[in-house]
Amino acid sequence: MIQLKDITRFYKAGSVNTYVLRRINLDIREGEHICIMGPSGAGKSTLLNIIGMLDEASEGEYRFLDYDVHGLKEKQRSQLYKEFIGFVFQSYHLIDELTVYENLETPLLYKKIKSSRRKSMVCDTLDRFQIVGKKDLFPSQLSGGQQQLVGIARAIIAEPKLILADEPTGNLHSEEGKKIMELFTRLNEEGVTIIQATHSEQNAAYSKRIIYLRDGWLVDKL
Amino acid sequence: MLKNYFKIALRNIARNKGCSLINIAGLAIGLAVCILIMLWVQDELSYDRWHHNAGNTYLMMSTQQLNTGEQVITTQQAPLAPILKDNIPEIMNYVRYFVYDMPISYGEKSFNEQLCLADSSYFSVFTFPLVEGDSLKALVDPHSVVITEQLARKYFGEEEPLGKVLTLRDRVPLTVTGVMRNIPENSSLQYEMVIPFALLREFGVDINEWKGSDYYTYLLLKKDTDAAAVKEKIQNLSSSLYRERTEKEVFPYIISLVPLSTLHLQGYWYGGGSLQTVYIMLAVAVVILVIACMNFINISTARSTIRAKEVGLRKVAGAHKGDLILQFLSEAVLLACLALMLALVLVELALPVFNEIAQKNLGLGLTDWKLLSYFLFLMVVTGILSGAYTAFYISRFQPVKVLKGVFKSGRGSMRFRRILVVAQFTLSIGITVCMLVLFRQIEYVKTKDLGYDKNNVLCFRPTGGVAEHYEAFKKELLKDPGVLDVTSSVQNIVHVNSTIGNNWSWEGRDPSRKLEIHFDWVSYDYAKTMKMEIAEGRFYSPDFPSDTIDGLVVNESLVRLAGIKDPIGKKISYWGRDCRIIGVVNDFHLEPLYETLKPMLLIYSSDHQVVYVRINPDKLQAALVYIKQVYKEFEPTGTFRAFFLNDAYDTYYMDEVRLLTVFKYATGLTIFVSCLGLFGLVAYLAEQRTREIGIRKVLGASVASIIRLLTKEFVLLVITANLVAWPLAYLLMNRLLERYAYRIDIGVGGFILSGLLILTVALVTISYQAVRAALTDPVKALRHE
Repeated sequence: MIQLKDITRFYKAGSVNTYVLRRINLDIREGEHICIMGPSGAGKSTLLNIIGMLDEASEGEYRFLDYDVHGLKEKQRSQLYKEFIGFVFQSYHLIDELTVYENLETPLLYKKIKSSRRKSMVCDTLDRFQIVGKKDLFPSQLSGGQQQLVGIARAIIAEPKLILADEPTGNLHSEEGKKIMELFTRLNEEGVTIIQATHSEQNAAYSKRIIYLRDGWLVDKL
Repeated sequence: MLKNYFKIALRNIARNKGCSLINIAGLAIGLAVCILIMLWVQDELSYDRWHHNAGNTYLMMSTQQLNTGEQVITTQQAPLAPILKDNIPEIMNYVRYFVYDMPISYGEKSFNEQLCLADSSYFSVFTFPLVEGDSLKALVDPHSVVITEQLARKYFGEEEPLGKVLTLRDRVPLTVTGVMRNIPENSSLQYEMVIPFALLREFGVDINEWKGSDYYTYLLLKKDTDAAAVKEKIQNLSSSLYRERTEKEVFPYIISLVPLSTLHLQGYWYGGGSLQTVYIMLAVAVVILVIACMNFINISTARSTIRAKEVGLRKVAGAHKGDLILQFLSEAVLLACLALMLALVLVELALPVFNEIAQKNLGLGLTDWKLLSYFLFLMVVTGILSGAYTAFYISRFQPVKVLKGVFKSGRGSMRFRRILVVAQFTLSIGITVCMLVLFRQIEYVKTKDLGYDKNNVLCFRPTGGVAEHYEAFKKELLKDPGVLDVTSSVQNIVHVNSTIGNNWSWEGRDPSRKLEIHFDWVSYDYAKTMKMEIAEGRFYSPDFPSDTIDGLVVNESLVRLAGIKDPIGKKISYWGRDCRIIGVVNDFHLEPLYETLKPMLLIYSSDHQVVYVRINPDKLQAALVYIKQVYKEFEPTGTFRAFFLNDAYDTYYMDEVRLLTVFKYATGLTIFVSCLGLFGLVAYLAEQRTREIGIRKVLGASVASIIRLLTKEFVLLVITANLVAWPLAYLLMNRLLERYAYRIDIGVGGFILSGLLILTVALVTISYQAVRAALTDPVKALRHE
């Protein structure tokens, strides 16, 4: 599903290039549950962002399904990730001005899904995550775990093939974190590919394959 | 989708109440001004267009090149129009009319009315529908009259007006043959009483004689005729007629045809508007709206960091740039919509004041679909204008950066905001300078020494018994201690426009030398009543009976320009009359100050068209009562309609005074709206820098230094705006004052004054926020972080 070949990412700082990722080679098949581990600044988020097409590699090739992502225009790329990818963030990133219901509805709006279908999809998801009672609340009225639940619900509502989660439990209590990880496992069992970046060994235990990053290099072990 | 946009927009508005209020209030003021001015412009442009023949009816005018400038004559000689119609096939019809003030009575009731003596085609060329009577036959009988419904009510109350007989000057009976609908306010022709042209014979005027060009002449051309070609034909025909008649080689006039529909804005018409004023008004409206839009742009780009996360998320959720642009544009349009609603309320509140200034009777016709669609159009344009920059700017945000939380609004947007602030204040300062210069010019015009004293002089047009027994009337008036002097002339001294070019000469003239001079007919005590100075000799006096036969008074300019040495006793001849100069008066302004001082003859005459009474200002009320009473004794049926000379003088500057009023309001509003924006911007920036201010305070910064930190930049911006605005305002005002032969020097005072004024207002605005930010407890500020 995903093939990364010699992916390098650097930032220009004056005349020096600061490397964040160095020649990453990685194959990910559909249905995997992968965990990216590494200390702060190892390049976990950057790798996720490149896979999620929010960022571009400075060098290297990236194939997603049958597309050469590095050769696509921005519009096509956004079309691609709109279709196949859902994002989950550490700080949830819900739109503060929208209710739970409306936050879930937003990706569907951009996919130009008809109103009646949209409504049923949102209701199904609310039901599935057992947050029907909270649909008219605003994010600020929810606890962190509940917000992340909504964040994940929003990520999967458009039925993506791939979920990218950047420290999904970083801001949560361990109890809440555990629930979220169980949710990921269940989603994975339903066929969704999941890639998450994390510090936590506990979380890593839920995944089937662990990748280690250090100072931008892919390593066997930390 | 749109519903979702509006929902989030409304919630954002509700969440940031202060900011939204500033944005909406600013836009509402801008829109309200635009709507008011749109109503006004629409009214100005609607003048006379409602005539069915408005598109192909033309007023004939002649322009003569004089050595003192161009003279425009709006009237023609009476026999011309019929000859034109007979010889030029494109002319379908014509109307000539002549306007006269005369007393009209019905039974006990008697009023002075403005009469329009017109050809019977008046009602077929113009669209003044008759509610009673037959418009084709109404003016056929010489003793008929057509009046408006309003006049009918005034004379006859509820009685049936048709067939009633009004009496003109106590002698001439006029039978009412038609009643026309009241004349709309947007009509240049405001004649409420129309009587047949043929009646002029009763006043001893032969309308077939080529004498006196006193007749307004309108031509109705065939549809789709080339007016320019017809004008050429008229020019040629008039020219050959003139040569036949006068045996002179050159026809001195250039004929022009002014479409009825544009007459109002030509500026030749008393009480008419001018295209220049329309443009200036529109410019003022645009300026205020643009300033309001700039506020909006400024505040919303400054606050865009707040929305940055939302933009990033939407992009991650699959939004395209276009979706986001649409979202932010629709948000701006929604705000503009709220502003429009508020603006309509403001307009409703401001209309009475505005009508008073504009001397109009405008209303907010929300049932008028055309007008309503203009408003909506204006709203959408305003929304897009103010939302576009932010929308494009905000939709470029990179989700990765925004969501990481390292997002800072770029340097570029700060520079853009600075430019906007400078632009806003440039406009405000420019308008303030214009206002001050205009104010000084009008003061100058009103108080300038005209060579006579226009204050405390009552004038009126003598009718009937007063005109006939002028000397006795004058003697009676002088009995009152409040009446100082009485005199008369043919033309009002504030505007004397009769000239002689060729038909006069002076002793010692080089035969090739030509001099164009003005003249008026005056009676005894003219110089004394007007408080003119006699430079040499004396004025006309009853003690020297020969004065009225061959005496002549001239002004100093004439003596100087003609080069007459020792003028007293020197001969001057005009129209075949030989006279000798008995006195020289000082120069005085006989036209509005657009014109220079003119050489002039003051010819004695016992034709009293305007009577002037100089009143002792301490006994004004008593004198007025007395004058009215004496008038009634001499003219029992007439109505006494008098006015003060200085008021008559001021009417020539009505347009400028109105413009000044507009500028006064515009100044206030532009400054207010600009400062409103500044207030919002500074509030936001101070809030953004809370942490920085906290740290600085912890490190020992004084309150004063913090205030300086926050205000310095804006003070610099306002000073920059001054430097940009001054030259622009100077050029504009120089242009506007060009029409005056007598004008003030623009000077630097107005510039510095307006600069300081705006700087002060801006400082006060900024300081409030700066002081508040500087006084916050640093511990609190840092804990929040």
